[in-house]
Amino acid sequence: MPQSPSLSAAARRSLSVVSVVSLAILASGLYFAPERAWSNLLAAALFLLTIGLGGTLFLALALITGAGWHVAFRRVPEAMAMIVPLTGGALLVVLALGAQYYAWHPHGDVGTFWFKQFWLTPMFWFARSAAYVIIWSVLGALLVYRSRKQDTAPVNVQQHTGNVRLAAIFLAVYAITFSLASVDWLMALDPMWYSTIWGIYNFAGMMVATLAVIVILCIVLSAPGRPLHGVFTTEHLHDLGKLLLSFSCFWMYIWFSQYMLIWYANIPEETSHFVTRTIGPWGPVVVASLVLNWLAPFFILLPRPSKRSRSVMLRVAVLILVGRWVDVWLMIFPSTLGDTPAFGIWELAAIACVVTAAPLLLARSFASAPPVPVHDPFLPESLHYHA
Amino acid sequence: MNTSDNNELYGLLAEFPGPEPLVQATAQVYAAGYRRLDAYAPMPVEGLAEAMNFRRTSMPLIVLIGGIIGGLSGYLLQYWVAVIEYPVNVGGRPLHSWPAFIPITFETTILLGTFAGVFGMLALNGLPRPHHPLFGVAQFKRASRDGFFLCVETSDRKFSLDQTRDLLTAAGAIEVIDVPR
Amino acid sequence: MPDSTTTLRPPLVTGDKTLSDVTRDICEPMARRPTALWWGAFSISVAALLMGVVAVTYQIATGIGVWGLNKTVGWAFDITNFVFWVGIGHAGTLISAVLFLFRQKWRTAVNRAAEAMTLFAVMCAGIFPLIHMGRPWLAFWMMPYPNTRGPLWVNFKSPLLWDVFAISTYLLISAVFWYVGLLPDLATIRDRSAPGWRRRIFSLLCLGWDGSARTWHRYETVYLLLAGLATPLVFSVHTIVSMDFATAVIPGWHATIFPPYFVAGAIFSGLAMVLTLMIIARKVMSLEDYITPMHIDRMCKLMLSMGCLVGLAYGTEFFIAFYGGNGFEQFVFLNRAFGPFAWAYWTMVVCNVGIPQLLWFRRVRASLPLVFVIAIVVNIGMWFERFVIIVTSLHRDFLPSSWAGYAPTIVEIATFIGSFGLFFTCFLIFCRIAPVIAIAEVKGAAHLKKPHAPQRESGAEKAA
Repeated sequence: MPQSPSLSAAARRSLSVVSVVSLAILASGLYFAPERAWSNLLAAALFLLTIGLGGTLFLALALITGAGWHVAFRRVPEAMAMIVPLTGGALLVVLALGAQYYAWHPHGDVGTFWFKQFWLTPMFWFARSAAYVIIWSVLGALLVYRSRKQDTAPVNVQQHTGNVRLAAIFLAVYAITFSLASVDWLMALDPMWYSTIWGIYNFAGMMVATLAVIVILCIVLSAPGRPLHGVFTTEHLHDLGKLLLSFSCFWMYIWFSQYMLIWYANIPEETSHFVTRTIGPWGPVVVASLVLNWLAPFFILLPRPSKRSRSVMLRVAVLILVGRWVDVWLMIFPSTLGDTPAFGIWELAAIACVVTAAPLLLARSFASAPPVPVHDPFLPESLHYHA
Repeated sequence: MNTSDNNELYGLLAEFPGPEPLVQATAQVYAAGYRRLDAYAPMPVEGLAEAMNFRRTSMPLIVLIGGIIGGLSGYLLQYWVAVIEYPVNVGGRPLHSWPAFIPITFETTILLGTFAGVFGMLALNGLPRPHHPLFGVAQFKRASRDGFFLCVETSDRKFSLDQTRDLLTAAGAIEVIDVPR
Repeated sequence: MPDSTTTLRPPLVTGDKTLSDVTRDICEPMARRPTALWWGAFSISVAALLMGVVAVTYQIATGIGVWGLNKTVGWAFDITNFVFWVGIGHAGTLISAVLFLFRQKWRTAVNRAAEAMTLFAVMCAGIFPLIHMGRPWLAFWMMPYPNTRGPLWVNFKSPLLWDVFAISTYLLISAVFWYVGLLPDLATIRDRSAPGWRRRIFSLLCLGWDGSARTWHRYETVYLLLAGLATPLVFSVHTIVSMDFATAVIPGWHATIFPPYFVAGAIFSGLAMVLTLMIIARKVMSLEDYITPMHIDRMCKLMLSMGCLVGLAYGTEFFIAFYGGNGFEQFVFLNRAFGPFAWAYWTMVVCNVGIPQLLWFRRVRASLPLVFVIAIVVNIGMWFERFVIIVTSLHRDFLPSSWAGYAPTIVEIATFIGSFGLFFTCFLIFCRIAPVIAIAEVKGAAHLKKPHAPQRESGAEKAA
């Protein structure tokens, strides 16, 4: 297997410089424009963490469904899963720095109901957040560790069954913790608002972004001379395209369910969320989010040839990641900043930080293991795979 | 070429021992320049349609058009009824309540897309078709159980009873049968 | 590693079958005379159906005042049964369409029967809202068409009208999907039958299918496209059913999680029904080589995951009721768990979330009697879920002076039993007149014995 590094030393150096500089700008922003800088930091950390967590989720789902087709590029979601501890840690730092922006903080208004006061006690809230990150990191690391252990010794069936069992445990734990995390980190920004579908909505956004990142990484890594060249085929790309298309539709379905039900019932404490977002200056941003996350990908990916074209898939994946950014933005900013969108140096710095940090982190974790799980029992099936 | 054969015969039917020999034989006969041929199998066989250079069908386009017509007409019907023909204030919602129109629009899209697909498939396949010359061949009954057949029609420009029969036998046919018209 | 791969990918059909064995095994039970067991089941079903017919005739003649409804609880048994039956239908579409798209080849053993089940379940579901209209002979008024009543148009902003469109679309498309899937197998039966009326009927039904490569190619493309259309459809149907409740402002009904939660619940209950039917069918029709323990195991896993999703939704609803701080919401959920219908609530929790957890153990999944019992338990639990959602949310709403109770009358219970009669009568007839397993699909997906060379991969997936 040709082992050329996925990033050249020069690229690594310039990416590091940009990411450190933009992070420094954001840090200084905590002094100059605290609310905006912090909101951007939260968006960036959440964006990166959910991509990593999405990698773990992809691994677990593939194991539990008995999928074989993905084995050829499985090291890609594994590399994503490995960034969870770092990005999760970053998110915890951001949360610790900005607890005061959650309106329920002692200075805020939580209402008088005992359960909410208890649930949003700052220490309890932070301890929970730390627990989520630790649990995801440990289970993700275990999944990756067990996969890498297969590289040295031939696999036996018991080992595979063990992997499947671990995946099942992760999925059960993930479902509960991620639902709670999306409430604690995002819904709690707006203390009076609630929606039961929120966890699923966040899951849908995370899945779409994860698939988009997998697509981008696989296309980049399978260019001539790169480690997955000839391993990641058009058939794999086609299947990822179908998944991307269906999860994009799933995201739209969940978005519409939430919007329509709240619009239809018209209960004031619920509509507040959409009144801030769909009416006034945020309105066009919502429309942009729908176009980027569903409308454009849907019509582009519908024909079969576009799912099999590297250039089209690459562009759609980038489009979806932009859409995910807008979506994360919409979940945070109207709650912390109010009715007016703002775009300036802080937002640019956050985007620059994510765009440079993600390839650095992912390249590092991808390089830490052989690029193809050579002993996986499903590898032959995946290599000769044609849909 | 014997014209009387062409009048009495629909074609030559060759049976092959399995799906893979059938695919090979089909490719061979196609490569020999025959165009009016078709292969018959009890289940979809991978590569068979490709072996006779039949790749793309217009089915996706038909379904897409059906779906678009369904979606548009569903939405427009609701708009026309709720806004123009019969405007009623329902719980203070706007007459043109687009979120409330989406579910039915969705259903009509799926409905017409599916119908276009199914009826399009039947029409392109020439179904329903009460009779087919092949149904007169006793062995052909097995085409729906475990028989794999290739039929070359007499209407093919290259068809010649003897040469075609030889070609089919050379391609590995177990048996070559005359199919009366 | 051929060894581990074969262990990890168990065969779809056991018993070393050839292509013609498959045809014979599946078609033969239809040509034989029905067994005593079949007659027994059939007479019980018809008896239940007749009871339903009597009950329905009586309530239509008398008016639906014979139900136990009152001003506060305006929906109860009938809508519970409606949602219950629609939900059961969903597993059929899931197995035939969603699993097809996900290339789960094992589905070929069960998809035909599951699709038939969908059709019959949706028929059963339709009965209840139809009767609930009070004057079912005017049901055609629900269709938007120019009329001489004004013209009086339907209200497109009403979720109940969305239901009309969703359910009728679902019924039509399930029927079409099922029939298209049947075409090649109908031709197989035609070719097996001796000349005569039976052969003539199947010749007509199969539309002159000849199995040509072009036909198969278009057929597969359209089957894939139909699966692609049926998948969002199955989501939309129970989504729209859930919106009957969730668009309201009634605490306990208005929850944004309802659409995906109802879809998961529907598939959960449907899988339970598929398992119930399949465990019986494989014994009665001696199809043990086609519906193997592996198939049962896969369906159990799917059912377990759906059960966990439903449990997550219960938890989310309870959590948000408290987190949201809305007193009425909290009351509804406390009232569910500790009020007069607590027995129904805890039945639901135990049956849907508790007992299915046993399926985590392979030993349990391998024991057919246990799986059968768990499937029945899930069926019961999912019926109670709808009952709990509908009745406990209504019977004590905002205004304590209008609180009321609810108990079904004998007429409602008889109608419900009648719907089971209809379902099983249809299903038993289906088992007699059509192949319960998709013959052509099994042949395409399974690695069968030589003399016919093994198939490399199903062509059905090629079109993907």
